[in-house]
Amino acid sequence: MKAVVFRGIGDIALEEVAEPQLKQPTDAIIRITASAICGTDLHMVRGTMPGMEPGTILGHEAVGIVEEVGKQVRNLSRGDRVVVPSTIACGYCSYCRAGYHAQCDNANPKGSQAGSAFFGGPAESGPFDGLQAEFARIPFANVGLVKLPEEVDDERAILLSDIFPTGYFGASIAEVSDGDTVAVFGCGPVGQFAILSAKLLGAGRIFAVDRVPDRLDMARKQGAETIDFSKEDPVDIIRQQTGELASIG
Amino acid sequence: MDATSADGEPTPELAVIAPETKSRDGIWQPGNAPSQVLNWSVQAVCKAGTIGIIGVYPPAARTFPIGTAMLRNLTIKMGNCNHRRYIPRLVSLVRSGHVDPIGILTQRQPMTDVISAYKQFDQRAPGWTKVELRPAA
Repeated sequence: MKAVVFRGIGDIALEEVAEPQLKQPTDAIIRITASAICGTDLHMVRGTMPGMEPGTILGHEAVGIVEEVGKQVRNLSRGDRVVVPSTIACGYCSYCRAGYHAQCDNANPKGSQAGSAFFGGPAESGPFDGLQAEFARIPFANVGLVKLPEEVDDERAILLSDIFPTGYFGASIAEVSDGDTVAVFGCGPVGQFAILSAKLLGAGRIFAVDRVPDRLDMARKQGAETIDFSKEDPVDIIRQQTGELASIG
Repeated sequence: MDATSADGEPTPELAVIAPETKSRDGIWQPGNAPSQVLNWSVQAVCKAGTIGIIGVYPPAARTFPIGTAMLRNLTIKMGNCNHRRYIPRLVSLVRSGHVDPIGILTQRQPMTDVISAYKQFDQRAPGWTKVELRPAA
């Protein structure tokens, strides 16, 4: 199959590689119908997320169709349409059961203290082959795949693999609630979903800080108040706009 | 989010988190201000406010403005997304039409053009905010 392979920092290629096989009875194999490129992938290629093993398939976002399931996967069948959560979680340890799936005790082969297990990441994250490929092996598939209703098409579903949940997580841990004033620094794909999620959580006012014109335009279309940090000091503008300048300055 | 280095020289902070880089013609160039947004956010948030930090910070990243955060009684929360916790409810919100995220997807590219797509995205080229890849195309 074709897949995007990390060969070294600054060196990636579309290569012909072996198709994945079931390794554990809890695995599934999916045929990927949509993948995506994330800013996290750029960190690995640029060198700001070190520790990648050459040969690792990149990518941690996918929508696909279940091809094959292991004997212990009891909730999915061949042909099911699914979205893949980017972090890998067993679903049964105390962390997963408390909703801390990114701190799963069992998913990372490097151990429970090694950090989040995820697709297409550095050695310390598994490593697991990623999802910029035609097929992928999904561990703990009963929780590692989420079935999709037919009303959610691939173009929308691919956004639910990583960047929408991450933006929602960001707004959630920032404790956004009704009426809050929120500032989102960085209006790339995840920042756009942080804006959308802040709105879902009831934000009264949202500032969006970036310097890329079309990303600021997108934020403004979502209703955020935009600040171009290449032209203005975002701290000054936010303080001025929220009446805090006099008390802090 | 970070600022791209104008002269290509890594800052000391960047050299610690990215010991090896292979930038060519401005492609694959790391930003030179990995803690910029941390500094801005602890200054911009209200006193006793809360900051949620998401993004990509490798284990070697050790720069955080602790003093300013302390001075202002801030609450700081951070981490990698617990995707599986949120995805089912977000699928429901999209299915019902309560939210439609499609405007954030700006590119649909065949897998055969993936390297070129990576480079456009790396450059934050106009219109390249989010790139879907289609393996079968």
